[in-house]
Amino acid sequence: MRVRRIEILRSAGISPGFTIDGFAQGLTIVEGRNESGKSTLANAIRALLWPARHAHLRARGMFEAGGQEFHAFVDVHGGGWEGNTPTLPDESAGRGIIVGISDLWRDGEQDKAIREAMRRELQGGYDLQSLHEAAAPRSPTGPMRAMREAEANLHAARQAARDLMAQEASLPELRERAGQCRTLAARVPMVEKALERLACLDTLAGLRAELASLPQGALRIAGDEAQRLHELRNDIDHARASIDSAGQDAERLRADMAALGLADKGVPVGAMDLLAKLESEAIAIRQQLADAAREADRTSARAGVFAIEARAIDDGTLIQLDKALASVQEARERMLRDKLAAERPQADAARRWSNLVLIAASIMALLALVVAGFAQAWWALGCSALTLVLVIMALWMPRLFRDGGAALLLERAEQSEQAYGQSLAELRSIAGVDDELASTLSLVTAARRAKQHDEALEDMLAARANVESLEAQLAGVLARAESVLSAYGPDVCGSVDDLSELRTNLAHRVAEYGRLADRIEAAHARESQASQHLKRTMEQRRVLLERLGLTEDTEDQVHEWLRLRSHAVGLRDGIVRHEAVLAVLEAALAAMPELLDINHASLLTHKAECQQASRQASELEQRIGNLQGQLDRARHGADVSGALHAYERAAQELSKARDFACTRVARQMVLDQAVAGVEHEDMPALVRAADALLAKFTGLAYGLRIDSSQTPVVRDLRSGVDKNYEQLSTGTRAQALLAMRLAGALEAERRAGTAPLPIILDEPLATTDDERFEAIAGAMLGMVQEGRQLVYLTCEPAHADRLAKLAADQNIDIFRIDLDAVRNRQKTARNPSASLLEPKTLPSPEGLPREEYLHLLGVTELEPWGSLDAIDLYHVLADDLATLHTLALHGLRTVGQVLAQQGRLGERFSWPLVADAGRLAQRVVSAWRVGRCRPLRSEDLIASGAFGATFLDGILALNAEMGGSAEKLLELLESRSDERVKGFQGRKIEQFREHLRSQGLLPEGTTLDRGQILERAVNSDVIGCLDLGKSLGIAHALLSKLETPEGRIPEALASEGA
Amino acid sequence: MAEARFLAAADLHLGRPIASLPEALRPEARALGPLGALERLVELARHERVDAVLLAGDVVDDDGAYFEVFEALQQAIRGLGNIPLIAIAGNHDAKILPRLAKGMEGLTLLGEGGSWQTVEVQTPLGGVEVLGWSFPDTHCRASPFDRPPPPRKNRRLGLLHCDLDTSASVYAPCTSGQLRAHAADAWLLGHVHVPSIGGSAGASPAGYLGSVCGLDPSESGPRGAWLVRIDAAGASLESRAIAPIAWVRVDAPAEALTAHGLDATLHRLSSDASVDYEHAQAVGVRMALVGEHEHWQEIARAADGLELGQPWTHLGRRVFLESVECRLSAPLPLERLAQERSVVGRIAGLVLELQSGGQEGLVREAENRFAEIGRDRNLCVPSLGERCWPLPDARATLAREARAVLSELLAQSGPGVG
Repeated sequence: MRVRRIEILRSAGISPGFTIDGFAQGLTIVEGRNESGKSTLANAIRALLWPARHAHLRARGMFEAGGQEFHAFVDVHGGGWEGNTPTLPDESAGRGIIVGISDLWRDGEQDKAIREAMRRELQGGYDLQSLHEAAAPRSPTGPMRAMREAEANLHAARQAARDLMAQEASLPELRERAGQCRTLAARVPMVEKALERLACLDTLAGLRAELASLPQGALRIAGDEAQRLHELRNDIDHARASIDSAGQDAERLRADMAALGLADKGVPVGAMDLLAKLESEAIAIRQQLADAAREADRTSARAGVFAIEARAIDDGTLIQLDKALASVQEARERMLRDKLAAERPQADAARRWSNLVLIAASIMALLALVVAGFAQAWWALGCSALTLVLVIMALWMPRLFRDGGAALLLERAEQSEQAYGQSLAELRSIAGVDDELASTLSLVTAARRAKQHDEALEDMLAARANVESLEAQLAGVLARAESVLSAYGPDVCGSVDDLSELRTNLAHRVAEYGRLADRIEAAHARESQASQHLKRTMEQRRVLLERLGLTEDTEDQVHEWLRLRSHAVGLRDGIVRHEAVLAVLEAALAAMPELLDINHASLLTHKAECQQASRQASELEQRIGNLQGQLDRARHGADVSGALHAYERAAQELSKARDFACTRVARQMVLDQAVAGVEHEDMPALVRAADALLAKFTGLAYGLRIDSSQTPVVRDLRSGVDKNYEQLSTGTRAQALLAMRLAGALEAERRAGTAPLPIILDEPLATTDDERFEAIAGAMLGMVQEGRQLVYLTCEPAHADRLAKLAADQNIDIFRIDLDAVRNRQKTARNPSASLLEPKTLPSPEGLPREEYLHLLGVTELEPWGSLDAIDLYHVLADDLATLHTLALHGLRTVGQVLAQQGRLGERFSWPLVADAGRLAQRVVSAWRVGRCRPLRSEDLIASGAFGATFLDGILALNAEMGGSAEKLLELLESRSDERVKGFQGRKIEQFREHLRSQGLLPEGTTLDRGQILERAVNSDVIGCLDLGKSLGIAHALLSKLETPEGRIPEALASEGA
Repeated sequence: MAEARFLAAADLHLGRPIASLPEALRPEARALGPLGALERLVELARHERVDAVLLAGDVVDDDGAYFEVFEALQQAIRGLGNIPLIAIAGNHDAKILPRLAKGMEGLTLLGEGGSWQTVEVQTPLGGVEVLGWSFPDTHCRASPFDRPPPPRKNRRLGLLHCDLDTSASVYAPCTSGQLRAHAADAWLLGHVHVPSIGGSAGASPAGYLGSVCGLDPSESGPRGAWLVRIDAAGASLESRAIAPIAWVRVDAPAEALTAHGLDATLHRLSSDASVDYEHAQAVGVRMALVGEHEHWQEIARAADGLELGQPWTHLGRRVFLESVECRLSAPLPLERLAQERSVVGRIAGLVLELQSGGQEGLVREAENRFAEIGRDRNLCVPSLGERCWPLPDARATLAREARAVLSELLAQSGPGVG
């Protein structure tokens, strides 16, 4: 496959439509000064074959493979890639066949990937590295720390148990002491009582003295004397008033009594009774008299009535008339009864018999029907006939009865009527009146009334005699009453009513008299009673005054006494109370009589001693309790057994960790053993290809090998010394990288089975010396001869010429493209071909202020923890700006560059001195680092993988606060004293610690002082061409900068900062 | 036929907790540990109607356990009744046992302060003297036989706590020859926890009685006391397993394993192994998965995920997995692989050489490096009395790791350039 044409449609700094055409089958040399578009061309080829984002690139290309043309268009911003290409290996091949100078100046990801692939290849495709890394030796400190802690705990527990054993022996003594103290402490209440007793005695004495100072009267009085005197006085006054009042009342009543007009002793009871009796008699007589008068009037009137109708009929006639009349009446009654009986009984009997006959007829009819039903016609006929007869009898029965009975009864009635007529006739005959019955009856009646008239006249006369008798009795009674009444007044008793009135009046007066007499007597009684009360009260008052020792005149002193009396009472009460308390206290103190004889001060002292004993007893009891608790716990094995258990656990964990470490070591030994014997011929194709290429590139001076740590190294085939990349010179490193890249591309090409890809070299040999250039070019042209297209882009016309010459020598088809011509621009000025490095524009330090020159030079700060190769030469040659300038003109700024360019700088300046100074600087910095570590950076924390998202922010902040100190941070993590790391797991801390250790971020050993550093870094064996004084000067200057962070900053940067 | 009967035990280590006892059995720790074993010892002595109980040192584990042990010993003496309890002090209880013996009736301490002492026990056979020697201190570099025991007058049982045939020991070193030279009907030794007592035909028994109960998983196998019978023919010993907890090592063969049912398989194997320990209340199983298995990685992962220390009940015993060690590897055709000129071939060859006793240089180097690790200040495991944690065997470790590396390499996706 080959590139035919590339058209850059758009790219930064390139005019649209920039087209390179006419690529040769063999070698195409593209010449052009810087910025003429060489790298753009290389990038365009890569983007067209392996589309990828490339800034501001739009290109079109034509390729040829197997006689077939392929076209591709790429527009990164416009939407990507379109076209067709032959089968290509993966993109890694693109980085292998298109190599720029920048690719070989640094060890990029692609190179690392190739080296990794080489290592795997070397190991037969197995990833031993991961196994190796997984088995990296570890020495975790966690188990040992836990072990130490458990050991300390166990030791403490054992010691505690031993102490406890010792203390156990002291228990009886402690208990005895506690008992003694407690006994003494028990005296405290008694001592307090004794003190209380003394206080009580003092109080009593005071009370008694005060009481004695009060007046006797105040002590005598009971408190109610004044009131009592006052009450007695009031009683006396009241009694006197009562006596006076009662006397006056009696006088007035006696006057009222006299006004009644009765004798001194009133009316005897017999007189009043007599009067009452007479009055009753008079009233009764008067009643009888009225009744008798009325009877007389009535008989008189009756006698008058009967007198009108009466005639004279004798008595015999009257008797006969009565008898006759009775007979008439009897006959009449019998006649009426018989007549009535003749009417009623016949009808009833007929009806009864008729009913019976009808019943019989019905029975017979029924029987006839029954018989007929049985076809007994004769019997039925007979029964029917009998029925008919019975019916007829029933119809005729009443008639028969009526006719027979009625005749008999009527006959009796007629006889009765006749008897009646006879009796009437007999009556008439007796009365002599026979004309009619009425007249007869009237006659009888008149006879009776005449008789009654006579009787009435007799009654009237008797009644009148009675009246007269009664009137006489009444007059006698009244006279007697008047005689009685005459003793109490002049009134006349003419009638019963007068008598009643007079007697009533007298009774009233008598009653009034009695009432007045009672009242008088009551008044006298009151007077007497009041007198007695007065006497008694006066006596009481006298006695009271006498008892108080007072008289009526000195009575008022009692008030003063009373005022003092309440105080005296209080004093007395106090005395009584205190005496009671004293009695109780002394009774209580009887158990300790010695306390009764101790004075107050001694008691206080004794009390203090007892209280102290109480405190001691409490303390001792607490000690005993604690000790007992510890003993109980110890008896259950809670302390030592637990600690022992923890210790064994920790030991087991530690042994596991140790065994695990042994296992890892064993695994590493196995892995080392497995790869140690890999022979060169065992190396896989990729490694062999790179090795072959490198050997060609270096003229068999170097080869590629894999070291024991499975890292590709460059072996000096002449000395047999292996060098890693950091130790290689820039040119050799570029050769090695180019060899590896090409080998990788060729391997990818082989795996993909594609046609040989073009190789595009974008000035990769710019830093290569002539000898190596020819070697590399020879190797590359060898590949061209094998049918591979080679595009070489350069700004070095000399390189182009040399390459063209070499190709011409091998009859290789050559095509040269001048980009300036293509772009119609002036051909680039040639760079000094004699120099391997492009001189940089830099003004001379002469005539410039030092700081300004350093600023222009771009010196960098001394980084204590950076790469030793990166130490700025300024820090070594600070006093030799001329040499510094010369080196800078050749692009040499760091110690590593100087050491890498060893032997290439000729004799232009004192090379050995600079190289030795550089080495010295590296040794000084290395020695200074012993026992120190660089501050932790955020990426260190992240790379440890120990901190998840939960803790990371907090840890980063803490790291900043700790100034990057790994030890402080670990300490903080283990203590978990900060909120931000609360809950952080112990195993993560171990992981973090391991990471720090593996990365050399945990200081090991002790730091060296300045003397030790100088001893190690500056000695005659190592300082080379440098004299000792200069070496010490450089070393001291470096150490000063290392020890003082501010000193690490060059003057230029410092002034900028300022 | 008249005989004397003794019950002998050693290394009770009263007060020491059982190491690796899972949390779930922690409430039963007392019954499962030495204190429980002591109770069983007393019970057995009464059951067997022995004439005396003999304890060959290290009765108490630590001075700190004084209080805890005091009660237990007193209870044991009460339980024994008239049976004498005779003991000697070992390195663990050199100080504490004399103190305990002074403080309680019924415990006879022989040879206090590193001297020989005898006590006669009356038996149906007649008087039998028990000879004993106690540690004077925690360490004793001198042999107890430097000062010879009193001459034998009667039938004799020797009680001694010592390091037999280890001349440089600090634990009363002595030799088998010395034991033979000072004849006894039996020499009952303490100190080494692995029982080894026995006697060749015609010879008196002499050896270690072993610990009464396994104090940690390394003390596997049946543990307990020994019934010593003395008759006219001499002494004979019978083992009486009384340890409340037994530790068992079980190798689970690869062919019996699957990743899916690993839990159940290991439980079954553990239960089967526990059947032999009728006397034990609990059986802790230290399981090792051994052999070659196609799915060895899955099984290893499953083994990592197993929940250990969770007891289950089998035939009335509590059985639990103390640990599971996966020593599985892929099925490795070592001979064929060794033919390859590759890393794999070299490792396969290395495995074969290690298995056949070769690679002595590599093994020596490994031993040196292991020793170096053992001296690492972060990994140096201190010994705890006679308990120590030996370094792993270098050859076995190398072979195991070589097989593991080989298995892991073969498990990788295979050669290729990235």
